[in-house]
Amino acid sequence: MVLIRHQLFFPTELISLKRIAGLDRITFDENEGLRIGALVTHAQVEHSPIVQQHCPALAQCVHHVGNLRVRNMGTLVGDLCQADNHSDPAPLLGVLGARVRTRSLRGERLLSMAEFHVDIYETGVKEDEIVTEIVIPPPAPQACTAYLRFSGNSPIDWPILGVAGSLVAEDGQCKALKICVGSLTAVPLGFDSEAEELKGKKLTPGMIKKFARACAARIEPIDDTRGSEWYKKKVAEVYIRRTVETLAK
Amino acid sequence: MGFQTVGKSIWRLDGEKKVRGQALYTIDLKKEGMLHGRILRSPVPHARLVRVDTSEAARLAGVHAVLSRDDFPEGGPLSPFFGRRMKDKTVVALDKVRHVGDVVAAVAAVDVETADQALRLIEVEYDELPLVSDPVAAIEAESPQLFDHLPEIKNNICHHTTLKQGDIDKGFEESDIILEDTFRTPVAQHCHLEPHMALAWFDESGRLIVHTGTQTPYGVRKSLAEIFRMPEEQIRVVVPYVGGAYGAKSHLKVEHLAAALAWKAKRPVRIQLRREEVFLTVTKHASVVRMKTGAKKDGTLMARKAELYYDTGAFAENGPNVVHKATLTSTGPYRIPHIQADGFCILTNKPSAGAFRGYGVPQVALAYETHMDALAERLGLDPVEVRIGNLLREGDRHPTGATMHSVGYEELLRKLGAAIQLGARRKGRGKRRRGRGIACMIKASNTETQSEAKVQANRDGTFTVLSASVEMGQGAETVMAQIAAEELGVRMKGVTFVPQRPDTDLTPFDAMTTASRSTFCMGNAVRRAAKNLRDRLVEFAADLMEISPQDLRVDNGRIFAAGAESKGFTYKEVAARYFARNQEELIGKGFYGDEEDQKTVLPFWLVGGCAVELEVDTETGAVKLRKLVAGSDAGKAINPRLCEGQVRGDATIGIGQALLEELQFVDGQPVNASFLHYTLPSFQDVPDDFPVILVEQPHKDGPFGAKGLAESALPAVPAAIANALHDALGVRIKRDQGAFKGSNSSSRFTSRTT
Repeated sequence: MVLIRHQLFFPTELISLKRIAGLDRITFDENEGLRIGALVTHAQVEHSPIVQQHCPALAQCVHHVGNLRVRNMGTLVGDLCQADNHSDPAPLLGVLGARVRTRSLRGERLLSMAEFHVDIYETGVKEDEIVTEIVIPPPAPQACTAYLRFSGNSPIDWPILGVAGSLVAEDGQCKALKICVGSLTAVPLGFDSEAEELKGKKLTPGMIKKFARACAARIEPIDDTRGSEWYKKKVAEVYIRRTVETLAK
Repeated sequence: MGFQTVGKSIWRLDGEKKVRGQALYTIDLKKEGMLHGRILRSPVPHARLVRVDTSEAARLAGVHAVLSRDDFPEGGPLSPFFGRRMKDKTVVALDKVRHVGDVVAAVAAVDVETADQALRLIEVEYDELPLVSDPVAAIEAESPQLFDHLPEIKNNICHHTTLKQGDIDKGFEESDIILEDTFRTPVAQHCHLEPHMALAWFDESGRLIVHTGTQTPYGVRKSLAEIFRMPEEQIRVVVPYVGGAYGAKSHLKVEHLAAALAWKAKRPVRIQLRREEVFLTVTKHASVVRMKTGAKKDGTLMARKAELYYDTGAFAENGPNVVHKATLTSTGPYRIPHIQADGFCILTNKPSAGAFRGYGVPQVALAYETHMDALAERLGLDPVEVRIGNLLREGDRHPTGATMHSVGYEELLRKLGAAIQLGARRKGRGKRRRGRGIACMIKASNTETQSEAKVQANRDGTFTVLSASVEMGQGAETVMAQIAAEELGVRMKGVTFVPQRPDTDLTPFDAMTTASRSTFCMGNAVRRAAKNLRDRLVEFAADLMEISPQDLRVDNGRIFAAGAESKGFTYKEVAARYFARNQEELIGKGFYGDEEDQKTVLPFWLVGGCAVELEVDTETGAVKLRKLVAGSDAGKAINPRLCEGQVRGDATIGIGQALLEELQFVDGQPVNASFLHYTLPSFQDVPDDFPVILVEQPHKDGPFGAKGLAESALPAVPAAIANALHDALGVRIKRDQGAFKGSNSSSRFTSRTT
């Protein structure tokens, strides 16, 4: 709807999914994890006891989407499908290992976030498919998850960048780290190879700094009214560092 | 003097209506047979119009009129030319387009979708011309010219103001310290929530009727009369409630297009701009200000040289006057013996910049208040004291010749400084640093303009206030009722004041609702009208009571004999008896701005300031305001709550302009002309700690001492924030590039550009 409003997209027909039963649910089971239906609004995600219990970072993250009106009307699946690169939930769903379930006459598919995000305003969903839900696997025990966003001088603006991270640590040693940065590039960017380097090591301030620098070096941010490439790279380093510091605490 | 109504924070009269959604705005108005107008705008910033072919659009079903340059042949029924300061604008582009968004054609159709479709069928051929984008480069002789047929415009300069006093060279020679810097500010937009909108039609007798959310109903009427070659009386301009304006709704914006389409379609036409179009209709001047300030060791200001380059976009609009007023106050509220200030209003291929709350002052205040702060810092003086020591005082002569009066700067500055403990300033350390800063401002109004009002007593005991002051959210209706009530001697409680909103057929002349002038100019007119009505009521009561009017007193809505309070009538009783005898209207008239006023009234100054405490994340540059104190001299606050609301709202726009807002252009194309990408301050962007200080130095000519204050905080906010940033970081917000022409002295203090 945002794209129509901004005259970037001219559909001739619009089909509402509102009356399809079952798409408005949030459920959790030990096997598949958290499932969020296509009609679930951001506000419902934010206030859902199920989400708050099993994925508190997501409940906190969607609070930053748009404004109260948008969160009451817009859906999490809709936010993903619009595929604007300034999505707050997208990088977080990346580190959570979320998958998108699609359905068509041909059957069902489960897309990983890497398969789902193709480009700005472009997803891996085929023309004859609809997205029915997002599936977030149960988190590893002891995993900490965080999402830090930066939107310049205004806390409620679109993010200049958002950094999602998840960490499993034991005695201050990194067992598994995932970092995903949103908004800066066409699709959320993961840093698995850089994170691999930290495995089994102690997360000292120096290590974290080095890691952040290595990640930022690989980012080629799109420059726009919210900042130049140079500036965004600098801030990315700061926020990747802060995210890992938050997780390590 | 004890007031009954003045000085009381009564609830605004339109509040409940607005909260309930019952107040009518232009968008709520419909007219039988109404068509919807849409505008074809130039996609290029500067081009010759080779061909405009509207034939296919005109053939589309549902289209009733297509307006293009073909409708304006020389000597035709309509004149294409208009303009606030010079006739540089045309209803639609004739031979050139001069900015992205310039009006090329317009369509009236049965609905917006059809009109939009018709716009896509209009064929236009552009022959692109070199772009003029930088105001300083624009005035070089070799720069491409926007206009070649207007004698007022030379080298893209459409206005130049000079302010001179003393001997500038001598002033700098006698100075112990000289500061010289260049400051830049970007384009901003007003972002009034109600977009520009107008509904126009020609009635059965051929009169042109226009309903529009304008700040200048009489100005709109005059300009329309020129375009339609009609007497002004044949045009009626009606203004419903207006959803914010801030200067953007003065003079023709869409009214002429709605009217021209209505003329061609012979049907009522309504035009409502989209937000993206609002950004291209009028903006705030981007600026380059070069400033050189000389002072003695003790902080005494000696000399001020200033060059103001204001980017007025493609048309002069109000720019010449904006630049004029900004130049005349480029010395700030300070006494400076030697002055040389030059202001240039410069045309570039951007949307027109016009009036915007503060009217050119925020740009220059950033410069002079940064210099006051730097002076204090360099000389080791207190920033409040260095300002106070240099102030123009009551009775002093301003460099323009005007007299300083009702200027409560000293009290205001001391209160602002105390509110943020400015004395405890120190440079921060670490990654998050705190800083404190202060700034003040001065702005002239236009007290020489005229206003007329009528106050009418109705037979049911209510009063009608007829005033063409536009209610655009500022609370004019409420304040006018309070002034009328005070003068009439009635309490607001239980007495209904019915506002007659601006309608050029009904409400008397008012110059405009701009420049924070209404409380002063219209307020005086309303007060005089109320006094005139009271005198008539008292006279009539005196007849009834067979007593001399001199022996009557008025209080709490009753007229009674002095010393015998029980003997008398309420206004309602007087009105009932009056109308029982005759049907003549019971009306009082008041006029402000006559020859006597021109001779005796001292102009009022907008006196304001701001103090800020902020925190900077030095790793990202993000600024968080911890506390902002906005202050103003109200003269006398007629309604303190409304005054505080005005000052806080004004400061909020200042926060936006300092920290968030910039309308950006790349190759003449606006790249963030939408609310998605143009960041406005929200409630989460203003500090939780956000008090307002009202100082009251009564103005001798203001109604009950009151004067305007709605533009007194904004201009000081960016400067106060810049000074607080310097306190936190040791960095001045300025550009180092560019010294004065022919000057080889570089800045004597250096700092990094941020």
